[in-house]
Amino acid sequence: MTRTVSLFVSCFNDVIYPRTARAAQRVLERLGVKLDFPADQTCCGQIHINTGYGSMAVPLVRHFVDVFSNSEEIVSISGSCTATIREHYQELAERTRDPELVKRTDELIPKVHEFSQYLTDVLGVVDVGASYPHKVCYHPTCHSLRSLHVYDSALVLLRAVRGLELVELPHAEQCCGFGGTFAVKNAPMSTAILVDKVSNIFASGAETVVALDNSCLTHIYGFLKRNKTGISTMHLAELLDQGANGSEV
Amino acid sequence: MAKDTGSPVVESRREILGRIRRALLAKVGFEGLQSSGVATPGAPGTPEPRFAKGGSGPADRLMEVLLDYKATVSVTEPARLSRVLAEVVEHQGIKSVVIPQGLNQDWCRKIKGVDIITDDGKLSIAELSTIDGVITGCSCAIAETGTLVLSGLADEGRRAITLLPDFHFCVVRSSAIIRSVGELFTRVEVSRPVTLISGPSATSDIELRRVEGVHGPRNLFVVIVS
Amino acid sequence: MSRSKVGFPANSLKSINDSQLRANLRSATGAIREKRARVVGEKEDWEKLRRRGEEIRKETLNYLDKYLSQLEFSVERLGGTVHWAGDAREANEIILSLIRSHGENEVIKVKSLTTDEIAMNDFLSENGVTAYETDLAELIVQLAHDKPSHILVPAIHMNRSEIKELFEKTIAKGRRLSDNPVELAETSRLYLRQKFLSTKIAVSGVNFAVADTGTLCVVESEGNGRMCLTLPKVLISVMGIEKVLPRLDDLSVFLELLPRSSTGERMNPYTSLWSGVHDGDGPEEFHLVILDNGRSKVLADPVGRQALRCIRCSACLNVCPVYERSGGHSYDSVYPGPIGAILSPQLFGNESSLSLPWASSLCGACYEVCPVRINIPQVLVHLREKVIAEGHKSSVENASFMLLAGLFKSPPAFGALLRLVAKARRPLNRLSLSGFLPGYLGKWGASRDLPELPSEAFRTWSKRHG
Repeated sequence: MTRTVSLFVSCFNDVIYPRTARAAQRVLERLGVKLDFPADQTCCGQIHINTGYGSMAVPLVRHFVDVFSNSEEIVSISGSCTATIREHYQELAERTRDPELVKRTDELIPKVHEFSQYLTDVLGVVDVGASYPHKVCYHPTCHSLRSLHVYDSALVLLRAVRGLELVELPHAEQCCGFGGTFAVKNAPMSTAILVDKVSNIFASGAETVVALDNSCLTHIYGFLKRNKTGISTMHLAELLDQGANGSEV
Repeated sequence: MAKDTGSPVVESRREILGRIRRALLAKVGFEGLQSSGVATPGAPGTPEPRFAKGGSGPADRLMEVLLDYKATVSVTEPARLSRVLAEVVEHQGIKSVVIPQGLNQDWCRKIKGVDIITDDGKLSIAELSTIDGVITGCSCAIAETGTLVLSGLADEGRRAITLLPDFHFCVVRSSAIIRSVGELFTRVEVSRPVTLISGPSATSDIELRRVEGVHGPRNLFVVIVS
Repeated sequence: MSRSKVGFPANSLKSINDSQLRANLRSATGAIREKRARVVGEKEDWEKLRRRGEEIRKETLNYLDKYLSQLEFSVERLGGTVHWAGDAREANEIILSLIRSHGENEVIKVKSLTTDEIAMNDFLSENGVTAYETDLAELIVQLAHDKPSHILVPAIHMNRSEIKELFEKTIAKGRRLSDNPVELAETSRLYLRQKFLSTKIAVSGVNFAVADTGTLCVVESEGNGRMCLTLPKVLISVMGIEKVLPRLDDLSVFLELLPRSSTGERMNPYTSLWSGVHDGDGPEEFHLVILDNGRSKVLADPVGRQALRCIRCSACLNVCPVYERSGGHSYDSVYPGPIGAILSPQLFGNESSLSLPWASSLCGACYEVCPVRINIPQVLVHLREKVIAEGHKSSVENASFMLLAGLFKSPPAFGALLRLVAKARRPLNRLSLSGFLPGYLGKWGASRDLPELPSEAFRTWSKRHG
């Protein structure tokens, strides 16, 4: 039976990382999942909520629920957006005092899955047929690790990639220092944390850093690139799309 | 406290409790008293905890943890207690020890060459601080945490005698060893002062490096009697 | 928020660039993180203990008035005296008048955050009373005329050679010391011994107070606590209203949670419990000062009140990536680190503390280790919104977020924006390399490149391939 799944790409990926969204789409389609892209989707509200503008995010919750109310399952390629929905949507919906919205929100929340967890826990997939003959380290982003409890989904998938050498990232569980507007409100602090993350990436010997959130990866890549390190970053979806039949070059 | 109504002290009391009550009433959606039915772990009646290392009993565990704290531990049987205690005390090269009035005199009968002073409660702090060591029993000992529990019983004495001397010799009957902290208050009465001692005094205030021996006794000797 | 001149972002700059401080903090917090993980790993029922701890603290706060009244009754029944202080000033005046009523002008002190919070030492000194800190780290901080920078290890920002130099200038004047911690600890022991034997009054904090038995608890390592709680004739203990626990059984849960979370030990060397005044053993007079100082205000916030569950273990400081690089002084409060970031703005609400809710990347490491499961990231986000709602905001930022929210509400407008961005990608990509970017982008660009923009957004591509 073909499952129909809605893809939530997040505003950030929509504008900067369409390549991740396309890769996720191809990986899922190869696994026999039928995907749709509700075209009216915008932003989950994370930027507002985490910066202190939660009240402005209330209409965005309603919008999200409206856009995805007909979806059976929703896959998100952002760990932190998924965490935002899980952690804040209920409370924000309750602020409207609209029992209908509260009910629809409660029903929607469990349908939203983070990409790697969807593959391993819902589809039960380990090997997606990818190959990537390089040294890779995995950075467990804070939201995916501590809010979504992604412990080994990503690692299981990475280990099955042909030719891939998974190297250990020292102090992997430490934050990269991004934190949304934290990266600009406390920019020197954010950078100080990032410098240590990057030193650990160096120490790991990895050629590519993989994570479940392009926002953290943008922060990490911004520094890797500025310092001309030659180390690349890649969302897990893109990596799982590497070397597989039909992938874009 | 000041019982005369209208005094500032009584005013503050009324004011603070009033603020607390208003704070608790102000909002709906208050977390009610929810008991998730989680029992207090380690409380009597809950399953025995498995000790992390070894498959040994509470006495072994107690010894292991005490050694980890840099205490000195001997194990003996009742018939040999006085001899072992004498050896341990004499070996330290100290001149005097204080003992609480209710300590079993028999324990100390083999100690030679060390003054034994019985605390009648009248020794001053200055006098106590010139005494080298102290010998006591204990109300119970917690295996999992290596803790000796004193609660002012007759063979433990008042708190000052186990504080000022630099050497503390503590006798632990194996029947007094409990598994974990959860059982503590089934064994001791808090109507008397209670002191939990886990190893010699220590500080980690400099670079978080543990240094044994600051203000409390710097040397802790435990004799477990099985 | 445009508060770059005041508060955490400005305060932390100095620490970020202080390599000695960074090294001290990294090594200290790294060591204690490992110790904690090891002893927590030994407890198979750790998660259950945390949940039980959370429940007890929630119950305490839900019935705080009841348990405080009960505590007062129990303590007075056992010969102690209870005083209520609405704020710092009242507490200090109560303490001063107690000291004066005994005709004394010196007190010895056990490390207490609550007395730091009310700046008791300064108040007493202005009134002719000297308070001697007896905890090694507090003594170091006092001798250096410095401020504590960590809840548990107030002198964590100093290393051994800095402490050696300080002692050579103060309590070991004219002597040469080595920087061996053993010798440094011995120096403080000798200095304080006489104070312990001769001082008539001690002031302590309180770790826990049990309502039903009137039992007070102080947890410590060095024995200075036992000295202060046992030898003087008069003991004055100061506790915040939230320190009460309902029953004696509850105390055993916290005696498991606190040392493992705090110093990473199975049990701290000394724990003292006393209930009122004990005949022939210890102080003849006992006074308990119960302090509000803003706590009842925190209690009125249904999200923020969980900060009052805190048992001051400092595990959250030790795992926090921000604390590790800023040190405690950057928080400009006696309560630093993640717990300070949610406690200080609620308790004090001063200008610099209002920047603290943003002093976090919301990584959640603090919540993961908290022994009473305070959801610190949740409270941080809640306080961000609260501070902004109270009017402490930048109008530019506010307008930008309004505009952005408007765009997100309207898919056609959002789509149009994305098409515009894609069209402008060449100049935008070049801009990113120039390093002269305005506003937020500039702060980003100071150390990081911007990502290259693609030729079209996903939605545009998706529509074409629909």
